[in-house]
Amino acid sequence: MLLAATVQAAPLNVRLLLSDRSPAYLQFSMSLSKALASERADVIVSETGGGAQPDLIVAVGMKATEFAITNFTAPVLGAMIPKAGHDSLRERYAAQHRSRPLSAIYIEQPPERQLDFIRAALPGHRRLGLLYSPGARINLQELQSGSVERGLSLVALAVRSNETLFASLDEILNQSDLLLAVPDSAVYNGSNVRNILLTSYRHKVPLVGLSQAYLNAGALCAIFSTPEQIAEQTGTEILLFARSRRLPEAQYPTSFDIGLNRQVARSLGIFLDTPETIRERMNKAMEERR
Amino acid sequence: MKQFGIRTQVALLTLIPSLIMVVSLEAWFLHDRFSGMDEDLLERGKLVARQLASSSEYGVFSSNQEFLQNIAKGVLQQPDVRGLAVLNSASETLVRAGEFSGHLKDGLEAGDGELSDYLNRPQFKKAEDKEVNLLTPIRSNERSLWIYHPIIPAQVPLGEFEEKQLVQQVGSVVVEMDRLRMEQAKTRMLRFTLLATLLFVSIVLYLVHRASRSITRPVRQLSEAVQAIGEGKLDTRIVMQSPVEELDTLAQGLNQMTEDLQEEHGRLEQRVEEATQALRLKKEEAERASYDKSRFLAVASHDLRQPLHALGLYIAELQHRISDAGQQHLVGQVEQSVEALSTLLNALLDISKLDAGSIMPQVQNCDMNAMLERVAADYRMVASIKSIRLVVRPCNAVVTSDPLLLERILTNLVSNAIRYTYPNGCVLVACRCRGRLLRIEVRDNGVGISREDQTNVFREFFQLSQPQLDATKGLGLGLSIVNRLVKLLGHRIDLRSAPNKGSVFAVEVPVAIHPGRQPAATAAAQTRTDSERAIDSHPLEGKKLLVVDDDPMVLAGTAGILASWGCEVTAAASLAEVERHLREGARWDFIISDYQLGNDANGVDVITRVRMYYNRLIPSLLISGDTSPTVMKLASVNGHHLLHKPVKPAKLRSLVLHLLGEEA
Repeated sequence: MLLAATVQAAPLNVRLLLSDRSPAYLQFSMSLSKALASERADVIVSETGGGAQPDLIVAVGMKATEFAITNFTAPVLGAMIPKAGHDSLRERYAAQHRSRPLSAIYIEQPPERQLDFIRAALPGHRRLGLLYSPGARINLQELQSGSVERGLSLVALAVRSNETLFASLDEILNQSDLLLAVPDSAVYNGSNVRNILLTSYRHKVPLVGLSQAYLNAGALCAIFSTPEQIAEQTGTEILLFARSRRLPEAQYPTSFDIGLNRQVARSLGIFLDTPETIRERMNKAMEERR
Repeated sequence: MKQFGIRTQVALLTLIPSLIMVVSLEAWFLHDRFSGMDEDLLERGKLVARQLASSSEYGVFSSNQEFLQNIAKGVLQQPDVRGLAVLNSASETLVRAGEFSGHLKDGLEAGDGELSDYLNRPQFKKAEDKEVNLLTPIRSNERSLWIYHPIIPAQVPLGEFEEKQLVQQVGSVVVEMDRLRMEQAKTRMLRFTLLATLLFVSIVLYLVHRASRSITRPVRQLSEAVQAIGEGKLDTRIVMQSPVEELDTLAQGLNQMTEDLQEEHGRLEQRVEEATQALRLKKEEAERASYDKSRFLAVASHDLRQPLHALGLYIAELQHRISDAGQQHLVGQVEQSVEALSTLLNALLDISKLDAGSIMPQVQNCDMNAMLERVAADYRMVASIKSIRLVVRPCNAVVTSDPLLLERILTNLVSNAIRYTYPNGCVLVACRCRGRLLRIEVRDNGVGISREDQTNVFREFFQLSQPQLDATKGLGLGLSIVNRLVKLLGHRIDLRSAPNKGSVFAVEVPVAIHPGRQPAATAAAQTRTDSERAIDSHPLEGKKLLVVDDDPMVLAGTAGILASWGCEVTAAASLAEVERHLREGARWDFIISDYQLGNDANGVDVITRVRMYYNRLIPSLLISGDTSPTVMKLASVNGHHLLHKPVKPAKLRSLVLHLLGEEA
């Protein structure tokens, strides 16, 4: 392959930093090693500093990424971090960034893809509801235009405090037939998600989640990238970096999975196609738009 | 030390350990159960609170009162839940249900929900200002138990989309548990336990009672048997069937012992019987000896009296016949000797009579004055012969005593005093009243009696050795007779004396309560003195007298003296001879008869015969040498005068004259 032909004399020294040893991050680490091994790239991935100055730092999660920025001078590739997190880090550490490249592979899906997914999976639901906290970095504009483009309506409501969450939720659910979760931990956190789900079910409004965890908690469906998929994408980027010594632009994950909670669907009386059909329908819609 | 019966001891021994065990076991059990129940209630309360907290999470999140109300209703159904309250994060009460005895404070602070604020904020207040909150989640009083539980949302892990885990308390619940049911259960349990204890104790008591009876009954039997044996019922045997081997052995041993004891007792009794028999024989022997002695004395005295009596009579006659002064003196000496002999004999006989208990005192009122005068008259002569001044102080008292015996006491004391007083001494007789008693004192300033002799002077034949007073030596029987008489009369005598200073004998005699009665003895004595005075004026010249005596010497003597007094005397030796004289037509003015007249008759028969023959109460006089009470009694029954031999001629003469005078 192309990669094999351009082997360099010195191997690339990559330092892998995990925010914590949660299963998702460990899965990522394992998958990355596997991916690099299958490419037979001359890359040394170490999680602990082996004394040598790393050429590239792969930081998994927000915590690790921030740590890498503040503690290392090598280029940093953040993986599995939300776009909003990446943006805030880039702003906060603007000074360090100028001297040292920073890029990321986001954890969430691009808004278009999500809207395509909604359109493909739930063709009958056209009124989207969205809750966000005032401090959240959400590109409402993009979502709005995307929705309109696809014949959907989007109602977004800002939640001022935890106490007013229920009232806002009530309000938004009355105006929509689908609740769209966004990566905003002030609203969607471990404590609230159960109540949000309960309330939405009472209004017979399903929630579209952001990950497998959402599906487990009771979201109707979710489109997400697994740690393996992101790790694979990260491996590719590392190889690119090994060749060019340049980091790519920050990007959304390319591969994704479609998750469906058929139990919730049955409860709410919603028909769901198979993930394959939905994926096909999504691809079709994308091609049509081009 | 306090003593207990076997049964009590056995009962205590059995009961105390089992009681201790039962009580401690039950105390432990109750304590364990009670604390278990307390813990139970608390655990249940906690569970209820936890359940309530988790189930009301969504209700609190959505402020859904109806939803919460439904949950509350459900929770209230659970046992012992008395009341509950659900509060939101601002401590505002969302729902209250049941009887909630505590007082909830609503909305003290409108907080923004920071956990640290919650920790410091009062969540729930009771009336006593006690509260339950996150720091003190449990409070209780005797009626209720309050449990606080925070409402913390169930966490749903969202993984990588969460930046940081933020756990917030969204509210709280307070549950009040009712202790009433538990307390009732405790009371029931306590009652049941007490009842069980009581039952147990009574069963134990009953068993102990049963068991101890099998011991105490035989023991009581044993003790009763021992008591019976102790009381002397040696034929007691224990028959019992005891389940206790030792007691059976004991009973057998006791039976064996009793048998041995009985045998031994029998042997002892036999020995005692033998000893008693021997003693009785000895006693009979002694009594026989004593009787023989008395008999000897009686016979001897009788036989002695006869010649002495005759001697007296002969001497009297002799004095009559002799005119020569030298011969008169000689006869006087003989008379004195006979007199002494007679006195000795009388004293001996008196002692023997007193010892034989044959003298019965005739207690009556006695005129002391007359008695003292008589005593004085009797002894004035003797005293003057010895140049002793005899002073008798008159006394007007009347005492209760036997006049003759009392006079005898006094004469003995006076004669004794005169005997032991030096010439030119003085003897004083005086009376002194001491309450109910009259103290008659006989004082002398004679030889006196040493202290060691004072106890001996009342014994027979005791004499003070006083060589210079030997001239009229006494017999040593006077005071001994006095002592016996005083005892017989129930009087008291005492003696004060010092050697060479003199002696005081004092007799205490009760004073008569009714002195008015005329004492008979005094009258008799009076008459006697009168008749004595009449001796010279009424001679016995020409009186016909019958003298009967079986002793020829006495008969001759009596006849002789009577003849010398001028009487016509018919002498007879037996009743047959008297009858012969009667047939010959003899008549008598007076009969003097000896009591004993051979084997076939006595003096009473003679007198009765003569009186019957003439059908006239001829005055008579019995003379007896026998001093036995039978004779005296017989004589007095028939109204005869009795004189004991030896009879002094003067006395005979005066009595004859007196009786003749009476008849006249």
